[in-house]
Amino acid sequence: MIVARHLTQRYTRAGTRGAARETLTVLDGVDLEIRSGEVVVILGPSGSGKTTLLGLLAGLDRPSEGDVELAGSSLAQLDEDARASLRADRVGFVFQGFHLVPTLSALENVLVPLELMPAERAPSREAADTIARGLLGRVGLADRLHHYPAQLSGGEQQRVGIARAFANQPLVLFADEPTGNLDRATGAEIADLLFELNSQRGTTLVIVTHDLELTRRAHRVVHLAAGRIARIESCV
Amino acid sequence: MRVRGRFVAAMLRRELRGAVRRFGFYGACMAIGISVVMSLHALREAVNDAVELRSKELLGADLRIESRDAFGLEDADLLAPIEAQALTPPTQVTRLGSMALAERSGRSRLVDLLAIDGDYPLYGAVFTDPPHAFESFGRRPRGVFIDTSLMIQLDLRVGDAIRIGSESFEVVAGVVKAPGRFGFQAEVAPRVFMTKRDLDRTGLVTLGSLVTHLRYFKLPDKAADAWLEANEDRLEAARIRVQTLATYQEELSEAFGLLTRYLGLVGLAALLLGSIGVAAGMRAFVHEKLDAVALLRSIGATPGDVLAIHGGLSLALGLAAGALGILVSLPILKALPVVFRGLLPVDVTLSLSPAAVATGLLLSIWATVACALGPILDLAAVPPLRALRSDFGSRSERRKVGRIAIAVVVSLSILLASIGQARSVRIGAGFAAGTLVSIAVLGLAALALMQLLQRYPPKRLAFWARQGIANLSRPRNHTLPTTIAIGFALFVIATVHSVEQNVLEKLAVDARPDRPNIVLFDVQRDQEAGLEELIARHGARITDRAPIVAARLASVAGVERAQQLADETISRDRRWALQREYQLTYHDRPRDSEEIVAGAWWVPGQVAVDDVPYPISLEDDLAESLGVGVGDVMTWQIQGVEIETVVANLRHVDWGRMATNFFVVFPTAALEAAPQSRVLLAHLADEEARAALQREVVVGFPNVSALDATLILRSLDSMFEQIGIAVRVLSLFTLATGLAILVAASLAARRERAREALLLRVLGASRSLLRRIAVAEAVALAALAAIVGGLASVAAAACLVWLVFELPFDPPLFDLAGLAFAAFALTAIVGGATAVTAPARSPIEGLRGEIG
Repeated sequence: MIVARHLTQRYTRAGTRGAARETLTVLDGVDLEIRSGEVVVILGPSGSGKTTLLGLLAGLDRPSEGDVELAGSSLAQLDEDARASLRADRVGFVFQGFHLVPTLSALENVLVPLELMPAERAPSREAADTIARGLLGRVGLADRLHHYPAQLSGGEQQRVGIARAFANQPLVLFADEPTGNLDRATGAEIADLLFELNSQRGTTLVIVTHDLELTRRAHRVVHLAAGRIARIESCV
Repeated sequence: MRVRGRFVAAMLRRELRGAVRRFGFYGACMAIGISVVMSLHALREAVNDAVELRSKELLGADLRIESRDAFGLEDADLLAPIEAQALTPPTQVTRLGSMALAERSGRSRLVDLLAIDGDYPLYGAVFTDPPHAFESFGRRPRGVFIDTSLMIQLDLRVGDAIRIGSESFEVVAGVVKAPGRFGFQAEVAPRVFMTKRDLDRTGLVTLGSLVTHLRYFKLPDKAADAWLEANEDRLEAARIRVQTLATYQEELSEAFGLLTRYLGLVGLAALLLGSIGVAAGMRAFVHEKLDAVALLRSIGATPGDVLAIHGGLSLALGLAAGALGILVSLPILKALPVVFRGLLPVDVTLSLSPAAVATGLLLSIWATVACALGPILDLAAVPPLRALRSDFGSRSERRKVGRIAIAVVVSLSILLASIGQARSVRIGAGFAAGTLVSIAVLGLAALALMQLLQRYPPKRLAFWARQGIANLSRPRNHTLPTTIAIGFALFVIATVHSVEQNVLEKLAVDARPDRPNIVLFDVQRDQEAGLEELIARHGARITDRAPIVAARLASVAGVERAQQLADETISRDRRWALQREYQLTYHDRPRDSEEIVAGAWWVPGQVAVDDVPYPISLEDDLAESLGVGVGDVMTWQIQGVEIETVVANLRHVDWGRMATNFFVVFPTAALEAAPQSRVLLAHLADEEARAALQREVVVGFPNVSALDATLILRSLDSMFEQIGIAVRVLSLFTLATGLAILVAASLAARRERAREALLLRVLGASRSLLRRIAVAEAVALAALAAIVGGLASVAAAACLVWLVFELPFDPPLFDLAGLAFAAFALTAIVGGATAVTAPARSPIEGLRGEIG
């Protein structure tokens, strides 16, 4: 489903106090293959390049070197609009900070990915509404459809985030610390939801996390250190 | 760039839901400017339409010709073709200035006498009080009709006797409205209508009297223009001034158009300010939207989608602001004819034409989109990775190019709008440059002061004062847009006031206690001694006197006047200088109000009668208009005789001084023997004594006109006051826009400030402390805006007075301080009232981040 070849990401930043510009290598020659339906957790200390790797695998950024093949498409060959379309069609996201659009209700937040789907796959307006309501019901928010993010608790916001992530029936779902902002009990609930929906729909899951509960339920754990893969652990 | 219509439409619909709350005030900023521009546009359109529709009634004929000389045999050939086409016999009018004395009240005044022979007017009507009285014009011997303004000034009633020249007449009716005059003109020079027969009885017209002869024609369509076109040069040579419907329309529209165009620039300033408000609002909006847009981008929205959603939002905002502007303009349309009362050539009722509505909407949309484009492009450039890393910024180099392109588009928009409004490239470009520079200066001054506060914070102040002042330069402050908005509004109002004060002061400059205030014209040589005695009897003395000889230019530097006028490329000033009739004088020494700037005065008594060419002295500006200097030869035509002169010196004249000032001075020997009249100046402090003197002049010296200068100055003051009110009313719209921006900016920062306030509450700050911090911030912001705007206005007013009006600048410091304080107080009050002083929710809710 995902093949990363020799992924390298460097950032150049202005030197402080008159020093010369410095180049920072965040990822250094990462090779990784993730199979369809697989649950992969990326672990590593702060600054090891986890989020950068996630961004590159999802096509949110272009690598300095190397390439990613996502759902059969080489991201290097795609321009900005094409990568956006690929994300809209095949990819879902769950974020640590939930990232709900504050001016949209819970229902509208879930509707957004359905509206972004390619025309040939996009459901009708009525069908989209039914799907969104169904997903919100599935995550236990059937009575919170018209609430705005500010009116929801952290756990509820993340449930909306998960409903939104699954709305377009993605082939791959990327999650960046999905339980990082939640207490243990709510985090466990969210993890259950994530795996439940994953197993029902056969979605490939790529998760950046420190949550041991999530790590324990992954098929493989990729350990990153200083921008390189230190080791890959198979859990199942 | 890919755009998904369905998604964009759905998102746009959702964004619009909260737009009224978020952009309401910013839209109001734009709407105020739009309403002013549209209203003035509607006023100009209405006046033009009315002038076009009613030009025959306004002129009273299809053609009016006028000449200082009676139409005689030499003009017969020229006038024959047009007389042959006349549908009715032409009406002849003799016009002259004369004194009128109301016998009952004893009041007198210089009036504009119109003696009519024939039907008048040929179109339209003379409206009188009592109504329809003018229908009896000419049937009642010794009956006169006078402007109602004169009836008030002389305390006249219908049936009263009025003395003109050596005869007494009966006032038949007051003239409310008659062709050829409007508004203030009637107050400055009120008219008296009488028959030609009655004028002959007065004995006022003698050889050499200053009289204008007019003829009014009723003609078939286009006949007047064709005749004018075919005979322009001959008419020019014969010194016959022609007014056709077309030229009259043009003259009226041009005069009024000029005023509305300048006032329109004030409206445009309000619109520009509104645009700044929208730009500031959009920037704040973009700041809030970065994360949401990054999220949309990460789940598949393209930059095109983002651009389309927010571009659509700005379009809708522009449309809504335009619609609001239309609503706001409705009461303005009702008020404008009242504000402009006395300045309008015709009565108008204002309404918005579909074209004006469309223009307003388009202008609003264009201004909004142009101002929002920069922030929207920033949004479109938000990288999707920002959803994972909030510190991740755009790496696109194209943004720089985009910013430059937007700056060019915005600057060009301002330039084109200014040129369109002023209908002059020079004035429009000057205004645009001035406005942009002013805004830049205001912005830079505000930034500099903010830097200063940041670098050298006032350490000795109390915590709340320091906190309030520090808020001005904290992240996400609204200091810059507010300072620019309020500062600019103050700048416009204070600049207008300073310029007005300086120019008005110059009009009434002669503040000497003994400055002359009575002017006696058309005094014949043999009347001088008698008048001197009369003036002395009233306890006054003659302060200045000068002989006057009427003349025209025949040639300048060897080139015939007609030949020079035939050149269509010559400047307006030069044309005026060549065409005008000159009142020459003679004396052998420069006067106190004159200063020689080039050449030298002739030696007194050394110029003899036969020393042709005579040395003459020219006023320096006139010399510049005519393109002559010391040593150039000029030939004058004085009562049919050509006299050659050479420019001996150039003089600078203090025209503001109440004295007998002249453009051209001859040596005594040259003109002493020429037919001439005199002008005498006297000072008489008591108003009653002045009125008595005027009465006696009317009775004893009927041909002499005695003008009370204070009355004229009062009329001028009143006219300038009217214009001043119109300007000030429009300037207030800039202040309203500035305050709307302040409120909008304050509300935009409310959420952020509410968080801060909650945090301070958690840390132990009392509600009263929070209130003091908010007030300190509002006061500091108001002071910043007032200082920056006040100083900028002094600089701008000084430039305008020096460069445009060419007058010395004397800042009205007391008034400016008052205006600055008013702006400061208003800003502090509005800012304080809209600031967050005490959070409504409990501190613990704030900590949970649940501020709605």
